[in-house]
Amino acid sequence: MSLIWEDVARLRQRAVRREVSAVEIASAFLERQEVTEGKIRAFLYRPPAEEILTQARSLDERMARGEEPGLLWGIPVAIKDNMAVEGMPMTAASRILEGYHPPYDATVVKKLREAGALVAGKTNLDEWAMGSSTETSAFGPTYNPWDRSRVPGGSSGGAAAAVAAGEVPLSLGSDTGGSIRQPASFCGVAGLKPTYGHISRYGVASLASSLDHIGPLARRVADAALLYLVLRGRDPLDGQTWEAPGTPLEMPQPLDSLKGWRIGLPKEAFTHPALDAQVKEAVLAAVELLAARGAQVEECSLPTFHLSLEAYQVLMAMEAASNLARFDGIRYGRRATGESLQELYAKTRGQGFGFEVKRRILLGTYLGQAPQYPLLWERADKVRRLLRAEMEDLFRRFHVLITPTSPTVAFPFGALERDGDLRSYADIYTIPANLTGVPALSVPCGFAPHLPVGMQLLGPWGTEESLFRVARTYEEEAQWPLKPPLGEGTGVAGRRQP
Amino acid sequence: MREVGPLIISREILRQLSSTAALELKPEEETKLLDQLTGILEGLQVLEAVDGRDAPPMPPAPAAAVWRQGDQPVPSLEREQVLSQAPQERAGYFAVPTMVGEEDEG
Repeated sequence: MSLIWEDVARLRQRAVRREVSAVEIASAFLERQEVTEGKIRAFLYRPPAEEILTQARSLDERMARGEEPGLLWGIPVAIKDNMAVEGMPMTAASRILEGYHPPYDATVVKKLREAGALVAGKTNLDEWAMGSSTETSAFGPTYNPWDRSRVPGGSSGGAAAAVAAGEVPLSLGSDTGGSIRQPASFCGVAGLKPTYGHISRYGVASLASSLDHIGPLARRVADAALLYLVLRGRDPLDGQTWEAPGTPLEMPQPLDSLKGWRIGLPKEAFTHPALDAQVKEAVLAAVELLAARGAQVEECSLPTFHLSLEAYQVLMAMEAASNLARFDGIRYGRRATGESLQELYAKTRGQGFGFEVKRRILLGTYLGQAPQYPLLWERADKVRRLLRAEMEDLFRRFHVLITPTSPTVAFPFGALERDGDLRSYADIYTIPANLTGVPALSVPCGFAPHLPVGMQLLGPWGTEESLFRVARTYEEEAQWPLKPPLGEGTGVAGRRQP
Repeated sequence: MREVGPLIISREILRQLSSTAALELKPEEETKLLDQLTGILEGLQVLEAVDGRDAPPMPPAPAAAVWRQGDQPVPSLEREQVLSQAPQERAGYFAVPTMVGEEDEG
């Protein structure tokens, strides 16, 4: 089997046994990128090949000297370009950060390096992670490897596409309202939004701090689990991080039987009018397969589900307006000229931010100064508390809840702009986990008709291991073919470089 | 609970917001933003539906999430590293237009 389609644990094991060198692994993925990157444009920045090979050579030398290899020894990992990597540009797909090279590594990047991973480059996203299609990137979109007339999802569209196309085995994404899980679903890969606070956000561009999460994307659930194990843990540089004592460090294994596992299907999710019939069919077929392995499946209710989107809009916009106030052209990034400081700020931000970002900043500013602000915030917060209480109630009866990850499969470019319903409902299934902080994992569960469908598994706080085990059990049983048909066609149009 | 009432936006309000947020807008952006923000603000009215419903307080964070870190000084980035990213730098400081007093950029 070609190195690029191997699972990560096995690839690392082969590297540790010296059956294959880190240089050979790096070369295989670099060659793959040469073939596919022109077609999908997943990356905003890739370091020169020689730089990656030098890192790989150094790993080989360190191992030859007897160094204990880390969990990701020799494995290339792509980083969403809203995370700081020393020595690489960081744009958040926005003109306002043009020219910025962070002088430090985000904690997650530091942990990757410590585990022996190779930092493969920076992937494309919706500008400031605001979007569901990667179309709002200031540097052009990424193309879905399964069908290049379709979006890869967003905002971590580049991260998902790069993994799906075999350009890297693993990538890091961020998820404020579904930005890991929805692109994972659209590109046929696994993506985890962990429990709030399980993975450090130090060095990641903040969008809405009470909703922001970092997590792994991978072709297989086990690979996502491995990356999660490397990344999780308390970080003094992110005061929201925590780790339950005694949490196992072992790889979550698939289960022989799901007997004793209770799975809930929230009826509000499966009866929503935006849900595509074929997507529903694929997810329910996957649930049947879990039932056939012994799981007890029952319908349940999440009555406040239908208010999550509006509550999210209030909280996210207000937090984003506040967080993005720091980008003013003074300390880094782009600066416009202005006679006064206020004019410099306004022009820098006006020229540097794209339309979607402006819309959210202005919405947040409006909500923050409207006379109704306390009432609005109170209602949004109440929705959040109701959802959390309803979920806690359900988790007394069920180990796992299952919903579709997205109401549709990957849509064509421009569809979000044309179709208001699509725009409104793109994140309906993913937002509740951000509002409540529970872990949520998207796993590929079939095709409709030629595009991947994702199933979302949700569990109580801190139960990533259970989600991984159930998802691995499903994955092992379903055996979906997950190599996109990226033939030798012509490449897509070039991208303006950040 | 009091009603939120209509959330109204106009071109004048939008311009005030753009000034508050220090965010210059093009005329064509103003028109599109007015249209979209009007739609979003109307949509938020559905939040009235939680009126009269009791919601428990957010559960406390897990015990493991409540921790204190030592108040220890740690090295910060070197001044040169930070200033290397400055769009404009002068004599070891970030340069900005004069805020008080002088006319020229200081």
